[in-house]
Amino acid sequence: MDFMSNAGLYIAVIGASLAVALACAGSGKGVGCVGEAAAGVISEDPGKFSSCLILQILPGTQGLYGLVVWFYALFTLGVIGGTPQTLTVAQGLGYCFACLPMGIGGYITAIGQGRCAAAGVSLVAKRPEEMSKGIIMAIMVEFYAILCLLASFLMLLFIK
Amino acid sequence: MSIVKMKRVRVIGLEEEKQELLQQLLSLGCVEISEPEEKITDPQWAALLRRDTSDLTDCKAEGSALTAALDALNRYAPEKKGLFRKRSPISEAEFFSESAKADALATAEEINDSTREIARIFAAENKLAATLASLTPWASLDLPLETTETEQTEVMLGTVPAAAELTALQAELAQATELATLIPVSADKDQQYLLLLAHKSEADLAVGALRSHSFSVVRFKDMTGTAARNIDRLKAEQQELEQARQAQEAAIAAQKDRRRALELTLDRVNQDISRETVSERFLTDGRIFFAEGWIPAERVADLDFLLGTHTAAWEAADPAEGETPPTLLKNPKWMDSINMVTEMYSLPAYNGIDPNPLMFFWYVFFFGIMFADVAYGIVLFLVSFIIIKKFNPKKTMGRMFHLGLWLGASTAICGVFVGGFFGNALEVIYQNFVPGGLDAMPAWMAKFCAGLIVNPVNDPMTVLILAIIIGCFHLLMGQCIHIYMGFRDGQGVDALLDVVPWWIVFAGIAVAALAGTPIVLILGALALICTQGRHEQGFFKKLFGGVKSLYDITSWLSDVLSYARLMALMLATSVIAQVFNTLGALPRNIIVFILVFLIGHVFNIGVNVIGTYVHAARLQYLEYFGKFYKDGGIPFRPLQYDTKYVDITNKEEN
Repeated sequence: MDFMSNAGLYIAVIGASLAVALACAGSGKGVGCVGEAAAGVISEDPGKFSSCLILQILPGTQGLYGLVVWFYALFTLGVIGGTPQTLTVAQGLGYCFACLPMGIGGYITAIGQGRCAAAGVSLVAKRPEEMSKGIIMAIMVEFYAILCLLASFLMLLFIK
Repeated sequence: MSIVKMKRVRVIGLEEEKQELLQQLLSLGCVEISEPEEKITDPQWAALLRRDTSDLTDCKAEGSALTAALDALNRYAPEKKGLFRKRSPISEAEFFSESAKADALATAEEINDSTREIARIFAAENKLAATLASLTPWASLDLPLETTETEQTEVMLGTVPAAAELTALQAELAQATELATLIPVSADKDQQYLLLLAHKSEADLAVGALRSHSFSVVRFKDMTGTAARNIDRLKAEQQELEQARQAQEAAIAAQKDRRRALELTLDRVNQDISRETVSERFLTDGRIFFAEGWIPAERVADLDFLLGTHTAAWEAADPAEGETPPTLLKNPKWMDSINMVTEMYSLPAYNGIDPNPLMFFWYVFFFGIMFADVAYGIVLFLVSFIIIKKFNPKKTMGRMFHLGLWLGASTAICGVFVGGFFGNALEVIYQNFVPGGLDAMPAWMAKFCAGLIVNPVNDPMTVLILAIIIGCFHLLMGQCIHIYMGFRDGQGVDALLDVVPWWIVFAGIAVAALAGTPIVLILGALALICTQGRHEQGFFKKLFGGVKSLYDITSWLSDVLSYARLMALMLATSVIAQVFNTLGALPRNIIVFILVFLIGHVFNIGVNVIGTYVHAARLQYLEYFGKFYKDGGIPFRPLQYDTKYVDITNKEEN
């Protein structure tokens, strides 16, 4: 295969990789950060494990969204389950940038959500009955990850 | 459909009837007794009356004994717990039965005795374990531990750090004195354990020589015989303690049939606690009591009937100027569920307006728009329905699932118009698993999938415009309520001036956009400049306030754009659903498809229900309430039954 004639495809794949890699890296940091806080609370009261677990998985969704964008991009490009498309460099760049909102937005929102959920864990430690409010505050951050997912997805859907 | 009118009640009665009256008020459940702080600090009142005493401390002690007993039971005889507790019904008389209470308290005391005994055994076990650990290194020494000397020699046990060279030590000792010897007993990773024998005359010299190597002497007081024999003895003791502890644990576990009784009594004691807490708010001079509080105007007759059976003087008056009555919202039962959204924000002030009927339909509608999917709606409805039927949860939980019924229905209905059924599941299934593909789909189904009004994934722009238009109506209604409240409170003109200039501006924007003439817009801006600074002092401040208000156009812009989230979340629901459908169908294997389908859609519902719930609420709190809401109401907290494990039945619902 000639490199130049496939450059467009490769550039597009870089974008897809960034979407999943950055989003998962952010989710990892976020989930880890909540986990640290949760372990401290559980050492005092093991009964709060389930509440803490719910808070801990919240920043994990960005990674999943990243995977969804990656998968969808590779699917559209024909890398998965078909013959790879031939793209011009410009088209490749289009796909690449379409993936970026999920990557960058996912990375940052996951960390932000992780910190928020970690604060939620300390809320659960002091006032377990207010757990729903801790979840709600963390979910506010989720909205922006969903917006990123939407932006990336719609661009992948409509870019020709 | 309103904020309930409150009456101030004041009661003077006989002290000897107080307990009985309090019990009846608890059962009546509609009177809130206020803190007498103001009265007590007033010297004239304080000269006559003092704060009443109560059995609160006793009740609290009973409460904590019961809680501790239940904790112990849960620990040693755990019960399988579901997500929801089914509450068993019980009659009032049975609930307050004194003999049942005494029985349960006795049980609790037995359990707590066992718990204390277990704690004591634990402490003893820890001590034993520590002693054992200190003896183990000496196990191989066949010298009785009490031997500290013979006729001519001193016998010493001691340790040096593991790093010390034994031969070097021995050499140094030999240099210091010839009449001593150092025998290694054992070693572990921290220390070496040594036996030092020295002639009495040279003992100090020997110890002195070793001390520079951190030699420290170990003594075992009160122990006779060899270390090995002591270890055997302690191990036997340890076993005995272990058995004793297991016996106590079994004794606690054996009480597991009494769990219901303990729970019931804990509930009952908690009622006593709330009664006694209120009892402390009564003022007394020893023979009579005085109490003051709030009662909903509509319940005054009930109180009248109740107090008629007592020797008491009382009045129910309208709230005086400057008093802030607590807020109680009264709505039809089917609308009660929306209270959980209102309460998460803040109750309306007593002189505000009840937001529930104004918000209910908007909330349910917005949720439906954002979640729009026929199947998801049905799932939400069924889950709520089953939980209500099976567990009949009360309070916040109950409200949540009653609201779930409405939200599910709304979601399903909105879903019909935007063609969502597990996202695009129908299309995917036909395409991949039905012979004939998409062409085999019945016409009505194809029409549904294309979206009766719009399909959000194919045409997001239309959805955005619809969302903004719906939002404008929402904001408009908020402003109309502002005007209504203005007229109700006698400030109608003010309220009109707040709102109408903005309407001119908005009309102006529309005219400018459609007809191209900015005249109306300019008129509107002038109207704003003239009116919005009217509360300021002095001409220039008024003018400046008016000009400044033009800047608020940005906040209007952000308010309106905020409704774009209606589109964003609707799209998010269908896009995520669509992604899972596509993923599942890729291998063209029906089993894989079902698996991915189930996991994916459960995840989608989970994430989006919470997100949608929050964002539907946010549109009410910030955009809608911002236009009219007066918050900061103090919740009405009457003395009433508040049980966790049982339902008290033979009592009318209020």
